[in-house]
Amino acid sequence: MSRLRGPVTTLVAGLVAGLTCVAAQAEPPSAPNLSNNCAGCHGTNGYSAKPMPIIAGLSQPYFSRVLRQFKNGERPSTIMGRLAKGYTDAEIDDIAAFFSSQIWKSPEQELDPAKIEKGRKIHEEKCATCHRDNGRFQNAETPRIAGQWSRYLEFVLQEYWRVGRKMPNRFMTIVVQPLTSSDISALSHFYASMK
Amino acid sequence: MLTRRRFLAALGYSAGLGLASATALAGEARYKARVVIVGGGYGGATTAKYLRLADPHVEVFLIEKDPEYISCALSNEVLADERTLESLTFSYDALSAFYGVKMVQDEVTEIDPVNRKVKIAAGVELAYDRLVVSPGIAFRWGAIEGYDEAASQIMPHAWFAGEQTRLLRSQLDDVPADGKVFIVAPPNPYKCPPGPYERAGLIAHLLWQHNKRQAKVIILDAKENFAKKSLFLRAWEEHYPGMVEWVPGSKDGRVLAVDPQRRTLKTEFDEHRGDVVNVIPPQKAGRIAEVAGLTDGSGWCPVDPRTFESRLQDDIHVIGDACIAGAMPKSAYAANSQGKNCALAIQALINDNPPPEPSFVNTCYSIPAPGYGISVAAVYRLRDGEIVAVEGAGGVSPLEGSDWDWEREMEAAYARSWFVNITSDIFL
Repeated sequence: MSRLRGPVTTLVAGLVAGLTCVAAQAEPPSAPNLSNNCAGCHGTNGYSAKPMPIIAGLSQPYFSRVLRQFKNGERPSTIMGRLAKGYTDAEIDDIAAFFSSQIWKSPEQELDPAKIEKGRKIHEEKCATCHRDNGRFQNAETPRIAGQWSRYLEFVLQEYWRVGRKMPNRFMTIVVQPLTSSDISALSHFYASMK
Repeated sequence: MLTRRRFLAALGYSAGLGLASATALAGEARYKARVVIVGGGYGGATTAKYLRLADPHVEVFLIEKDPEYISCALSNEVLADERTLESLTFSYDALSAFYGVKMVQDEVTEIDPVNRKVKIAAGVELAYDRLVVSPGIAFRWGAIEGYDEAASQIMPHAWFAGEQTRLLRSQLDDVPADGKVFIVAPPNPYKCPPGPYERAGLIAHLLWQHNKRQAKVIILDAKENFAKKSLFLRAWEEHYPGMVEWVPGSKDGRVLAVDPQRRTLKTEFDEHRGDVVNVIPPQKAGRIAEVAGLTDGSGWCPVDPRTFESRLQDDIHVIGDACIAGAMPKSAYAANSQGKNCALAIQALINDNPPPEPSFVNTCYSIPAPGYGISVAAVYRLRDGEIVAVEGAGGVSPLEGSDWDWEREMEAAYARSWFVNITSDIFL
């Protein structure tokens, strides 16, 4: 009897804890209760100041997919992965819906015309198949990059460029690895210039 | 002349972004309720803006004694000549011009919770339906023997940004090549847990730049541990080897008394003399919270974590550094997050709806050396009536990694971007 007590008690305690956990799970936070917290870094409603990326107006499926990638570590990050782990997939979808309902606005930024022209050529040669309409196109796989902050685009391209950094999209790795750092800067300026 | 275009241009956008609706509210004559907010820092100013965004039919007054806000977050960079105080200074103009927040520049002297009125120094009374108190921290003057307001003119605290920051910065010019700078770090809880340690790094940076590499920055701490400790220790060693020393409470780090005239600090077993002495004293909730009976024996304000309504007074909410918010630290991001959730709770209560389930975030960046950022972050929820960190999420920057230098550089860039974003989220 006493030999049984241990596991049984543990089992009962586990069930009780499980039940308590369910009972304590109130209704999930509303989309604004969740999403307003993002504004501390990404700006009110997702319109950020550089170089933090603009997230207002990103497509819902892309947003949901990328936050899941941050959450499960598939996409490296400085801080986003640590925060994404704090949300359920359903909450991630709510946050994605909140920001995708905003209208994309391209900010004014200082860009170098020579880099824009150089970037346009690289885009047409290597990137235009996926990043259609000069980077305006977006779907679940492809983010809108036209009018994003150039410094942020440069950060992400550098991530794909760095040897050994585990990145989520192997096509991007294949395309970006042979580029030079001046190519990366040119591409960033080109997409940033597209409104 | 303040124009909306100028404000948006400061951020980089040429057209209004969801502000159009706020402008239309300027002519609103009828309100269903009045909310008065005391204190225009990260907490109070956030609540004012987000309450107006959530419900244009709520009249919002923001009472703040200073004409402008000077951010304490990132003010350590001023000590390293990496930033100006002007870059930390924000006007309340946009809150009134674009969001219809009614600004009152004055000091609240009294709160009457029974008749729901605040009295301001000008002798005017302002009635409220709900009051939000966001006063920040106050010092426990005298908790360290001899450290009072007069002493802070010789041994600056620089824990409110402005004149105190300037004073500490100017004193650093007089540190001899082999001089000693002391930082007295406070016991928990206090505003900005990683702040004293970021400061130590940035002061060491300034001394290093001025070729005073034999100088020392010594932190005398009341505590045994501190936020992001391993990351700070590594940053100091990488950038200023041997210059920064941390002395925990158990190694006689606890400062009991100061003598400002002699610039000396007394611990239990020792006495230290510094060329510059920065004393960050023990803290409690801001004065008005105490006056209004919102504090308990701890000196801080107990609140219902769902609504941030005071547990001691009805219809009064307390947010930011002054409140007891479970696992959340006293930080700018925490105050901003609490302000938003509090605004949505108040909106629901005014409309006789149940307050929604809150969700909170904190992100604290530190820049212990220029171009070198580290962070701690967390997501918080209500569990059994307490604010707790979501398990498995958050945490500090990993201490190892093949991209170490690059990630520090990225985090420093994001730290500075965070500052522009959060202040735009509040003041723009």
